[in-house]
Amino acid sequence: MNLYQNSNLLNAFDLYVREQDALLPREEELSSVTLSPAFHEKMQRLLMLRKRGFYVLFGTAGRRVASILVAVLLALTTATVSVKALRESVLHFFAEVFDTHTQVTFVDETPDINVPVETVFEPRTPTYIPEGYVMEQETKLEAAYIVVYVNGDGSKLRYKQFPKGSGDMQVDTEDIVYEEIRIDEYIGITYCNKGFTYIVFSDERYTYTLSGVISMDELTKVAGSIQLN
Amino acid sequence: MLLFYLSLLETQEDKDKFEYLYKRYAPLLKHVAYQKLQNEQKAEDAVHTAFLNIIKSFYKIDDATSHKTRHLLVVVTENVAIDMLRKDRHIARVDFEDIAPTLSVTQEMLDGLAVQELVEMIQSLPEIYRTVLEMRVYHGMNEKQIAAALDISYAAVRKRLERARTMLAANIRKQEGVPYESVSK
Repeated sequence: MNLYQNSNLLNAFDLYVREQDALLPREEELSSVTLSPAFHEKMQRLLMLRKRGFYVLFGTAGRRVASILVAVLLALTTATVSVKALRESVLHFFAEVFDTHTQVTFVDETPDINVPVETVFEPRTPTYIPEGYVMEQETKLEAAYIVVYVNGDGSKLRYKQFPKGSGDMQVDTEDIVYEEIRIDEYIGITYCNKGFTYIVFSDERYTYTLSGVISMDELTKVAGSIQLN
Repeated sequence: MLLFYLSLLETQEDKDKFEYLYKRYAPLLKHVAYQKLQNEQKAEDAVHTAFLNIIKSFYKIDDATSHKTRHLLVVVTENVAIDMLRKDRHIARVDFEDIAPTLSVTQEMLDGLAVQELVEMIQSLPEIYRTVLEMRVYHGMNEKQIAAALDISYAAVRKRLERARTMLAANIRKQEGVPYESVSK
């Protein structure tokens, strides 16, 4: 039998731990212990991080576009993900695997823990919705706000808002061509893929994505109606 | 690498548990760290690092509400705080080697003692040895998990465990009236 599984030793540790535990202050005695907002933010950030950080799926034809798009997305989020290592890791990633893989899952392993986290998430709804669309689903999470609108044809318009640098983003970049777009004072990108139009942009606090089977002009109007910082 | 560690919290249940641990025990752990560090900011840093170490260790918390879990968090936090103190004071961490003749505790030795006697011997162990032994025996952690939780090397864990066993054996012999020096391996 393994020495570490000796029941006598185990019982002794159990008794020892119980004795030690009894010496710890109870919760009601800890009311004077305060935790700073900075600590809460740091821990909150720890909790918000997810297993899947940042995904890019791309096919052979879209490789070059994919690399550009990722670079643009990173540039957009630079204020939050201002991690030199992250950008370098992306360059390294493409240099290493760009010519050998057609579909790659990329995971950001170097988020900056010191980036202030959004403590009070403020959902922002577009005030302009194209005619015929009604809200089908609204999801408010601790760190994301997602609204799905649908029209009479069943076409959906999706809107997602999340704190910069906190969420994961899936971008299917195969065969796409993107364009730079300006929403209010903020630069974003827009592209079409498989009949869907997409807009991705960020202000100081949040990243917004909009998508739907809808014209670029209409989607831009929706994006422009969001109350930004 | 942080996200990699957090990716170990694979399920929503793990994440919820982690959040529960943080919300419930952060004040206690800060109190524990503050006792050692006497500095609010450093105490919070210690708690943060302790949580990270727990995640890194791959150790699965079964019951977030148990005294066992609470004690593990306390032990890890204390260890982090001591390490911070050590670094602040530029004190090197020394792992003992060959200070005493190698002697290992046996099943028979342990079985021959009353539980309370063993508790006293556990208490008499220096903290760094007691901690690794507690993690190994009581929490069922393996050497790699202990190394990650305490942020020390795998070799250091093995050495400390060996040393803990040696000390226990020596204490038992001493209680039995056998001079330590006369005991061979």
